[in-house]
Amino acid sequence: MSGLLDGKVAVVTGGGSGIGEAVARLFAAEGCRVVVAGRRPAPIERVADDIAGLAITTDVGREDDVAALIAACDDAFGRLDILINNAGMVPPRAGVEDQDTIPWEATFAVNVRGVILCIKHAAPMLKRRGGAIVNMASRVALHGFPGQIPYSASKFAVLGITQSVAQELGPFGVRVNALCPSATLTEEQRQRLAERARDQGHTVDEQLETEILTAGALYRAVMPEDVAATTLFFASNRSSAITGQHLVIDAGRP
Amino acid sequence: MAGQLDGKVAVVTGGGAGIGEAICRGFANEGCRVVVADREADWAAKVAQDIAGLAVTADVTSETEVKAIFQACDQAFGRLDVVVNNAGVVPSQVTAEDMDMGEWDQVIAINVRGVILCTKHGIPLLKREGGAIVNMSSRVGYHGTPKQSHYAASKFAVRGITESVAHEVGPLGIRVNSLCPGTVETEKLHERVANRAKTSGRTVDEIMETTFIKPAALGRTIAPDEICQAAIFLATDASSAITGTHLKIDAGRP
Repeated sequence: MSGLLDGKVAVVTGGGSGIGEAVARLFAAEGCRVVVAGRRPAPIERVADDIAGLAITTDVGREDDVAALIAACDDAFGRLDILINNAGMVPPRAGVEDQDTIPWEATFAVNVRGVILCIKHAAPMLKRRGGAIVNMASRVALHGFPGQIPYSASKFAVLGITQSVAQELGPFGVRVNALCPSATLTEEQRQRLAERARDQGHTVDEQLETEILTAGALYRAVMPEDVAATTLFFASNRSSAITGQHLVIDAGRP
Repeated sequence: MAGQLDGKVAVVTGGGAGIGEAICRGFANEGCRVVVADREADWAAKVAQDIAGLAVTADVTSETEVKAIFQACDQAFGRLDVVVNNAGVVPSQVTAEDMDMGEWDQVIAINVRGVILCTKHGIPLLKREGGAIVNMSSRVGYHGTPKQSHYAASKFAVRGITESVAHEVGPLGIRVNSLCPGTVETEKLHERVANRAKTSGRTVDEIMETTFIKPAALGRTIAPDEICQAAIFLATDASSAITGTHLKIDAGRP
């Protein structure tokens, strides 16, 4: 069977779990060779083993690491077609007066600096024959969310990067788009949900119902596979005239 | 080969030419049975014949004729999965001061009333097993342009309909999204540009270059099939968590 990404090479940051893992697995199933990048070696090695990809331990906030990631991709595959800037962190929630408890620098290092570092180092390879960049923003990049001030600020920044870089790299045939998923039901999200359920004296099912299912018109959670399917659309030629855009994946939240 | 729309049935309005024709052909290629609705009987018949679809001559501003489209669909195929509200008119360029209110009413009737009529009569069939509605808005549905206040009003309205109806019908398993194309290479576009060339003293090439090609980061116009690919994405389960949202396909215009 011919895959949608046959012959292509992708770098997926934060590829060891959650949305990044779903993207890496779907891309591989579509014929793509995938460099799975992540901070912790064990999860990315597990994913890379399963899909015959390449695991590279990377902290996207560190320029040396990012340069080494892209160099490893070039060494192994000699090309790069797709960059998925998925690595990100969600800091704990806190009100506007309690921001000194929140790791602003770390959040921006990963969510913003990490995105631009990966683009900076991948651009020379992507420009060789054109390609696609997909940045993982968030629904909070459009609407904000109480208690998630640095997170939403960092994701607004991702949309700014997306639009600016799309204009810069368009003439080289490199498209740049962003996805804005609402809370996606990853393992990590389930854990946070369970913590909030405990804090608020609810069961996990109750918390899921009120926080996620009833929030959207479709009465369903957004799953990592949903975001991966959309990432595939933006990474493939199916979206060949789309650049500088973002797409909301939120099961129809008002 | 398995098609992305195998077993599905779609109604495509304005299916006889341009973007609508590309969508009919692209959908059929993916295994979909298509009802080609168009005001021009010959156009609808020709496309339907090529793809073994069903041609229905209909003016989307007439509730009786819209009703007949969906009755014909139900009789022929016994189901409906996708409605593509593509029928629309791009009016002449005219300032607000010089607006001919007869033309204004006509634009709103086709581009807005047509969409809600097809939505109204499509929903009873779509809700039997769930489905998707794809509305054709426009880049001008986001960014008004001079001498297009009628067109802009109509295409902003399409996005309004999209968001409202998405929330209404989400619980019925029907998703509603809109596409916002930039400059798509259709015969109608070439006619419009040729007319503008006549009245402005500029050549067709100059107008294409300065108005459409240069402002786009990708430095090109858009092929009708590129709109079709996005319509397929929004019509299939690849977008099953996406509703009430809009996607611009504009080759990267700032």
